[in-house]
Amino acid sequence: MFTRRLQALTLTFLLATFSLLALADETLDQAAELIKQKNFKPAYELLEPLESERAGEIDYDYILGVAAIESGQVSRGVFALERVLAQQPNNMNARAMIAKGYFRGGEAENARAEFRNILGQSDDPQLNKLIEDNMSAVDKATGQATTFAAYIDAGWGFDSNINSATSNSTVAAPGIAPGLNLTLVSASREQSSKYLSLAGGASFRTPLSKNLSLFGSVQGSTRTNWNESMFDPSFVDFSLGLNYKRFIDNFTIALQRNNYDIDGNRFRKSHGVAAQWQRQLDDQNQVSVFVQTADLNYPQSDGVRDAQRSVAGAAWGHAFSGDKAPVVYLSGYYGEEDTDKSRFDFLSNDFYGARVGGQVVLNYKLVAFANASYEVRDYDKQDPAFLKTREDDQFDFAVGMRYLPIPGWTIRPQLSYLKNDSNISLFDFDRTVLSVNFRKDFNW
Amino acid sequence: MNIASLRLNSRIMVALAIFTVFPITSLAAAGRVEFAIGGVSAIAANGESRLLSKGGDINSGDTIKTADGRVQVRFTDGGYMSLQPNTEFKIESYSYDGKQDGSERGFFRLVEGGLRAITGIVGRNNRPAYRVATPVATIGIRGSEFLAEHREQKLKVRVIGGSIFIENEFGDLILFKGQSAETEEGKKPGYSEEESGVQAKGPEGGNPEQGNNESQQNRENNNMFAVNEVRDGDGYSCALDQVCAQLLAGEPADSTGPLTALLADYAAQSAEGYYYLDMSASGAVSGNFEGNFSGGSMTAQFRTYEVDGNFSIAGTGDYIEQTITGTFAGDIASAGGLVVTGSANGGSLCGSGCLVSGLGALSGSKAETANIEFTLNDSGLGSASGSAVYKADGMDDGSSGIYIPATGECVVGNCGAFF
Repeated sequence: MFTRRLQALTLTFLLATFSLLALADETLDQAAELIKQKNFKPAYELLEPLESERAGEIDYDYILGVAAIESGQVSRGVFALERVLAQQPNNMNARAMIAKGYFRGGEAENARAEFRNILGQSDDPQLNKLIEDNMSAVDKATGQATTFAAYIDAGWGFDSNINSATSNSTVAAPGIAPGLNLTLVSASREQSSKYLSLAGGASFRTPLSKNLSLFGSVQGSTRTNWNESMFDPSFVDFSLGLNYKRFIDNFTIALQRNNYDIDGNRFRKSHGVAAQWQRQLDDQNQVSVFVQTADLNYPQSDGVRDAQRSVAGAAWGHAFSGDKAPVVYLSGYYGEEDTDKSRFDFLSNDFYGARVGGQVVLNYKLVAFANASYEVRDYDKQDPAFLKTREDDQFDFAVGMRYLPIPGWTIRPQLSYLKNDSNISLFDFDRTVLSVNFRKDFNW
Repeated sequence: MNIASLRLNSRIMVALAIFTVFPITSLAAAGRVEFAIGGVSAIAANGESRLLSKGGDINSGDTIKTADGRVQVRFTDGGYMSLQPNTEFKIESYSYDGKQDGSERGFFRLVEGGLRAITGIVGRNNRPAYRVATPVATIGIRGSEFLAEHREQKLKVRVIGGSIFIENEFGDLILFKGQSAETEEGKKPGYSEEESGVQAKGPEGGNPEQGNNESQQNRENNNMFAVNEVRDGDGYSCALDQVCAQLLAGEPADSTGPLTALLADYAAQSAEGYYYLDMSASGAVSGNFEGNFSGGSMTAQFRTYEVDGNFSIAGTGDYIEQTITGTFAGDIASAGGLVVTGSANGGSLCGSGCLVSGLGALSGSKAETANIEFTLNDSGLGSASGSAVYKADGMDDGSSGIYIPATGECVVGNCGAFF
C-alpha cells in the first residue's frame, strides 16, 4: 500500500514537473519518457554518466534522483535530490521524492521529517492529504501504527487425487485377512476432479509499545470438487499473538486454532501455540528457529487419532542482490505426533524433513517461484491390520508464478506435485494439482 | 664536486624528500568537487584555505569545512561523499593510482558534522585501507553506502547498503543494511533504538519468510486430508471397514448411522444374532469360478464382537453342477464392520481348498443385515468373489433373529427374547 501511495505521489509530481520542463534537453526528455514508462533503470543508466558534468542543474538532478531511487540506487538518488533542495528548498517535488528515498533506504524518521516539511510548506489541501496518507503509511510500514489487511482469493484447478488415496484397487492386510488382497471401495481409491476454491482472510497488527506489537488473523477457505462432493475440504484458522522486535532480533509467539471440515462435517480441530525467533544476520541473510505444538482432535473417530503434535526446526533465508532479487530459503524440522490413547500408538510417529525454495522477480509485475520438500515419517508400533510398522517418505514440489496485473491483484498459476511412498500400499499415493488463483488484497 | 653540481644535488635531494613525504600518486587530486553550495572551503595541509566550487580538486591532507553549505565530492576510486552543513571533514591520507595492489588507501576524519558516503574501490578488497575516524570511534567499510553523524560527542551511523563496522577501544560492531548504531566517548558501540529497517526490503524485493510460509501453506493444503487416514473405532483405516467406508462415502449405511451405540448395548446384554443367507439379495459369484450363493448362516456373539458362519455356492455354466462350501469366523468392529477369514472346499476352484476372506458390515436399525464381500482364493487356480447378504429377520413370529437374554439391564427392544 505504501509503495502504491508513493507511486501515486511520484506520478503526481512527475506529471507536474515534466509538463513544466522546457524539454529543450533531448537527454532529459528521453529520460523523462522512460520514467513515465516505469523504465527506471534505463533512465538512470542514461543520466548517470553525465553526473560530473551536469550535477547542480536542477532539472537534471531531479530526474536523476527519481530514476536512481526508483531503480534501487537510493543513495545516488538522495545525493542528486540533496543538490536540488540545496538550491530550491521549497521544491516539494524533490522533497517528496527524497522522503521516498529515505524510506527506501530504511530511514523512516528522515522520511517522516521530510513529509512534515512538505506539510509545513504546502497550503494545498489535496497535496496535504496525500502527504498525510504517506506519513501514515510510513508509520504502518514501520510498525508504528495499527494496520489492517484482508484478502479474497478465488481459484480454479484440476486435482488428480482429491482424496489423497492410493491408486491400487486392492490392498493386502494380513492382520485381518492373511494371504489375501482386499478390494477397496471407490472412496478409498484415487479420484480426480476439477475444483473451484474460495478463500478469504483478515488480519491486524497494532503496536503496544515501540518494540512490541499485537497481531491477529482469521482466514478461511472452502473448495468444491466438481465430480465428487464427499471430499470437499474447508477450514478456518485463527491466530492471536505478540511480536517483539529489538534490533536484529524478532520474537513471535502466537496462539493458533484451526477447524477443518470435510463435506461440511468437522474432520479435525486443533489448537496450539507457536513461537519463533528470527534474526537478521545481515541485509541478505535471515535465520530463524521455531517450535510449535498443537492438540489435534478428530471428533468423528472416537478419539483414535487424537494426538499431540510438536515440531521444532530452523530456517535460513538468503536474498541475493541484483535486479531479479532472487531469494532462496532452506529449513529443516523434526517433530513428533503422539496419540492420546496408547493403544493406538501405531498411529504415533516421528517425522523430520527439509524444505527448500526460492523466487525470482522477473519484472516488477511478475515473480516466479519454486519450492520442494521432503519428509520422513517413522511410526512407533506395528499396525495390527498390516502387521508392519509404517514408514512413509513424502516428496512434494511446486512451481508457479505470481503476476500482479494491477496493484492489489495477484494472479497465481501453479503446478504442484506430491508423492507419498509408504511401506503400506494403502497409504501410497501421488497427487498433481494444476491451479490458477485470483487474489485481491486490501490494506488499511 | 663543484658548486653547480652541489646545487643540483641539493635540488635532487629536496625533490626526493617531497616524493618521500607525498608519494607521486598523492600529488594527483584525491577527488573532485561535484557540487558545492554555500561557503564551503578547504584548508590544505600547508594551511592555505580556498573556497570550493564545482570541478575543484580535493587533495590528500585537505580539511573541508561546509559551514552553512554543502559539498559533494567524488573520489578517484569512484567513492562519493556528501557532506552536510556544519561539517568538518579531513582527508587524512588518500592514495589510489587505479590499482588495488595494497598501496591504495583512504583515511578520513569526521571531526564534526554529518555525511553520506558511497564507498569506492579503496577498501573493497583491502578493508583496512579505508576508515573514517571520529573522536569517539572509527568506521570501517565492506563495500558500503552509509551515513554518519558526529555531533555533541556522539556518533550515529546507519547503513543504507552493504555493511560497515564501527570500533573503539571498548568494542566493535558490524552493521548491515538497514541497521543503525551509536556510540560516544567511553562507550562500546551499540545498536541504536531507531527502527532497524530490516523489513524495508518489503514486498517488492521478495521476503524469505513469505516464501517459506507459502511453501508450507501449499504443502499443508495438499496434505491435509487423506481419505485412508480416516480410522474406525479400532484404529483400522476406513478402507478396511465397510461400515466406516460407507459412512465416509455417504452410502446406505449412513441412513442408519453408526452402529456403535447399538452394538455396545448388545455387547452389554450378551446379545446373539442368528442370520440366514438371503439368496435373492446376494450377488453372483464371479472370477475363476462362477455361481450363486445357495445357502448359509451366520452367528454373531455381540458380547465378544465375533462372528462365525458358513455359505455354499452353486456353480453355473456348462459344467456338471458344482458346489463350494465354506466356513468363516471373524470380528465385528465397534461401528459394525465385519472382517472374516476362513476356508472353502469343492468345485473346480476349491477342490484343493481355498482361503476365504470377507469384508463387510452390519446394518439396519437392529443390525439385522450383514453384507459380506467374500473372496475365495486358490494359490494355483485363481480366485472368485461375490457379495453375500445375511439377514436376521426370518423368525416365525416376525421378530428379528437378534436374541437378548433376560439378564442385565434391558436397553433395546424386548428382553429375554428374539425381537
